Amino acid sequence: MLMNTAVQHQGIVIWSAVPTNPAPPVDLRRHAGFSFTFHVKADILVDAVFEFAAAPADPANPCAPLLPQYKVQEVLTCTASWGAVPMGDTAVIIPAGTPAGSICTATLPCKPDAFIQLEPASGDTGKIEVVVTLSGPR
Amino acid sequence: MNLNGASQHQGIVVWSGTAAAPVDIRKHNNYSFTFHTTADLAADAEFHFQAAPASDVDPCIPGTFVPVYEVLTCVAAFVPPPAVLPVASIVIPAGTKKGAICTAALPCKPDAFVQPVAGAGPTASVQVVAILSGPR
Repeated sequence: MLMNTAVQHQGIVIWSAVPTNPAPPVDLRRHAGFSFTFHVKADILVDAVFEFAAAPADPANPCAPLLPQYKVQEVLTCTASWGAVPMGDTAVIIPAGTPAGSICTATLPCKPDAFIQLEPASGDTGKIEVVVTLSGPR
Repeated sequence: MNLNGASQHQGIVVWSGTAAAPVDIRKHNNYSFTFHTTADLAADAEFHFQAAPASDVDPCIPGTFVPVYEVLTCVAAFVPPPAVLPVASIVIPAGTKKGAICTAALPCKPDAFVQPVAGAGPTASVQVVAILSGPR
């Protein structure tokens, strides 16, 4: 008997390979966790680099982010080497050589703010579909 | 500390609003669907499901798709089932607002591959993501 796991792990398209369908900001406030699935639709020839932007809620409309958004900075966790320093902007890289059909997952160690948005930075980002999994609705 | 829940619950787009993409469910313990409305629904948006075994010539792609029929579970009312069960369908009702999120699942794995297909109504105003849980 299959269970409806999507009740606790909702999937929302946050980046489509179609340029006319840009990434919408996602509201993280009502979920305990969030993470990302990167689905490669064509062979990656150049490193595909994604960055993240975040924003608080707009006081005039708490259902929308307050613009402009800001870049999410890297956060070190306890698994980082002693003495390591953050690199600056948080990034996820799907490396050159990744074949079509591959599935990669990633997340950020913290909730940066109320809203988060995926931003294509460089490379073959147009060959990738990204879904955010919003876990633990509350 | 935010954990990578997607490693156990991968999200794959299976209905973009215009086209279906079959998903291979063989390597996952579970699967379910998120329906995200991208516009207000003025009529019921109805989806059906199709399933297929792996292709004989390439096990990584689906063979011939057939409709998935409804499967009664123990929560169904105690009445004699019809001789031929209807196809499995999910209806996102008229009046559902843009930005709404609905979730659903089928009670069984019908075959190696599964995909939603448009049944009736404004299915173009809905994106569907399959959540593939428990990779094995």
